[in-house]
Amino acid sequence: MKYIKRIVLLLVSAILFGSVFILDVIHSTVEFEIPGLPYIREIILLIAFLCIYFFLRQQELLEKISPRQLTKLLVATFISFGVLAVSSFLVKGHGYNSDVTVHFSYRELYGMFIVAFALGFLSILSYLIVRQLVLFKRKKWTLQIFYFYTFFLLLYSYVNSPLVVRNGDSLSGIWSFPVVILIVLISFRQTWIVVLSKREKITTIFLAFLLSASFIVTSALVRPDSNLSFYLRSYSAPLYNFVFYSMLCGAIYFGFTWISALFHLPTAELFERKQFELHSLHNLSRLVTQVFDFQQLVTSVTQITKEACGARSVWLEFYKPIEQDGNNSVSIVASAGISMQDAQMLSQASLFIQGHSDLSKPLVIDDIWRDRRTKHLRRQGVERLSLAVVPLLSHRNLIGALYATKSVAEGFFQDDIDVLMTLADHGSIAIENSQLIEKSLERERLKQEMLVAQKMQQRLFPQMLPDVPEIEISAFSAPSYEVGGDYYDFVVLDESRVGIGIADVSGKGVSAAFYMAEVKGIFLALTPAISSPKDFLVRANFALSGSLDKKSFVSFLYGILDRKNGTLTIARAGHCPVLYLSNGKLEIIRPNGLGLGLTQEPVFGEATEERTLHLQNDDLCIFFTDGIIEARKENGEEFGMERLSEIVQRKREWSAEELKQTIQREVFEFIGSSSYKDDVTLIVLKWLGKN
Amino acid sequence: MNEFKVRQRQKENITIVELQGYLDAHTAPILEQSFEDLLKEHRYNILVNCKNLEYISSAGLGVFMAFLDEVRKNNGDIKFSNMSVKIFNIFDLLGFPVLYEIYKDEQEAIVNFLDSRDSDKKKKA
Repeated sequence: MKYIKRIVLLLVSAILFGSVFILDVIHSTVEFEIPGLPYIREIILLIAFLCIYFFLRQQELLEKISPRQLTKLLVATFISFGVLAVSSFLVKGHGYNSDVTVHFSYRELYGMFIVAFALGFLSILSYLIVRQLVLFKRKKWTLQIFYFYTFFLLLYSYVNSPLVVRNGDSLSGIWSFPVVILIVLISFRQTWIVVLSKREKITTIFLAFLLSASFIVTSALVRPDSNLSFYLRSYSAPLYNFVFYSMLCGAIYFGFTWISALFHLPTAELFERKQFELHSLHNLSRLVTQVFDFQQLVTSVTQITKEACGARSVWLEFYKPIEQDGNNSVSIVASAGISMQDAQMLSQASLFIQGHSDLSKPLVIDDIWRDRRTKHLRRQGVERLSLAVVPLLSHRNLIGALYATKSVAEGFFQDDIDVLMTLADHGSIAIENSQLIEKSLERERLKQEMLVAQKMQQRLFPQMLPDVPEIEISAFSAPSYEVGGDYYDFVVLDESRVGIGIADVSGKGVSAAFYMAEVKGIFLALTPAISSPKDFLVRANFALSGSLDKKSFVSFLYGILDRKNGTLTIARAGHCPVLYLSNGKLEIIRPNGLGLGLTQEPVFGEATEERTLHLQNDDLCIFFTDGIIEARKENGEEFGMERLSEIVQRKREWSAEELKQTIQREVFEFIGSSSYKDDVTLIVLKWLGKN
Repeated sequence: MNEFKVRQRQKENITIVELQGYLDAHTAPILEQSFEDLLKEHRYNILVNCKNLEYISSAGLGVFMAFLDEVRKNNGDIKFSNMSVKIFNIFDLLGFPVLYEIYKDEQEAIVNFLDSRDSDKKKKA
């Protein structure tokens, strides 16, 4: 698409120039006067040159500023010189006489045309390039000033021509003043030089000098009283004005350029360094989001710092707090441009931590050969350096230090320290970030482990309720965290007896869960061979004493149901009592007993008693852990025995399942959004009657 | 909810430990530290006054269990007094009255401490 546009523009301009040329040829051979012809001719020429303008402008818009633009322009000027040289053969030296209407030969017309085209082209190209340079990093008024320049240039070009003004009218010359003033104004805009590299600046000096010289030469060649100016003016007076002042603009602008570039040279290197520092900072801040591995991170930070500061060497010291003795371990985790031993020597000698009152401030040693802390290192062969240390801070805590050296004494100035501190800040953020991510990953791993543990503990609960026709059983258990210390189980002892156990390990969470698993093991191992609940508890107490720690204990309630006799014999090792509802009467069954793991025989056995219930049809037995009773609301109110009793007595026709669900629902509704956390377990046993 | 304080008084060779607030897994370490300090100072006659104790969990009970053996080995004891009905029920449910002497008030407890000291002396004599 773009190519088509450009070809069209070229074609149009070619056609227009061609037409004008033919017109001129005809005009010089045949005498005729068409009123307004000169104006039409100028308009055609204007359009033709506008096509050239747009053709050139298509290309210039997107290019980055570099000395290449200047080279292009220089080449164009040399080509123009060539054209001028060629044309000198084509035009004879006619006397300068603007009054006389001269008849030009075909050769002269041809010569005039190529000169006009070449210089017109050069002027337009120069205009576009100067425009691009002037508008670089422009301020508010720059564009305005450039528009003014363009306006006055064009205004003057057309005003100071026979089209508008008769010869001899000197007032039109006044319009040249704003043009010159504006040229000087825009020549001050040389900002584009600043961002060039040092090499590019040097190139610019030479190119700009040559350009300025070329434009001066060209201006001289087309000076108002020269031969060339006569021919150019005859071809098109506005064009001549435009060309002359464009050449002048080029001479002045690029004159300013080479002088300006010359003055920028001494600071070019420093400017490049500053740009590099900025670039390094950018790299470093990207590290924060991309690199999480600690070692990779500190190595990169060290490397980037060394490059950014142009340092001789850089190393990073990291302080890791060791939990046990509370002391920090200090180690150099990364270094660039220096051996570990030397780095360690310098670190220790500099006494960054010890000799410093405010650890958030940097430390600078201007000359390690002279400073009393480090001068002993001279004897050990360390070269002459200046040393700077900046702290690595995270939430106002010192997590490490960044050391840098330079090969000269007094190599660090305030702005160097500023850069070092900025790099250190970014480094600290990156390090902290990587540590947080590590912690986060670890947390995630632990979370997954807990979910696995939860699934596994779920399997320690009865997967099936015993299928005994004389009873209805329903139960639930909910741990307070992923795992808990509550336990319940059923065991079919023989054709007539079923064992029912419920237990509560002291505490919550993982430690209680481990004991809970042990309790299950003991339950399954001991119950088949034991016919007395008290006996079981005595043996269980003995079994657990070995592994329970001093602070822990287990409450246990074990009941043996005899289906043939319709009896339930219970022993209670410190556990919550059984709620027994029979014929509308509620009784709390609480045989004496002591928690498991608190003491040994004979004390335990002597403290434990058994109780046997003779069950009637529709009798209910509720076994529970203290999580049900002690369930708390936001305001601290406890669920309590009364509420539980009320629910149990509410509807006699309820099945075990219905009663369990009701209690479960009401307990959790009661807790609501309060932060109450305890393991909760419930068994509902309904005796239907002997078979 | 989680307010818990421990105060100490000395009466002759008995240390009276006053518990105030909620003794649960969160606050139990405070009590643990107190007991550790007492044992370090060889003060083995400990009376725990539960007058202002609002609540005790298994973690709290575990603290007493942890130090009981050591205390009794050194001819001392942990006794309790001034329990509210609610607190006593918690102790009673687990069967603690079998292991510990629990008194209605401080005075009674102190008397019993002195008695046992005297009876020990008599035994030795």
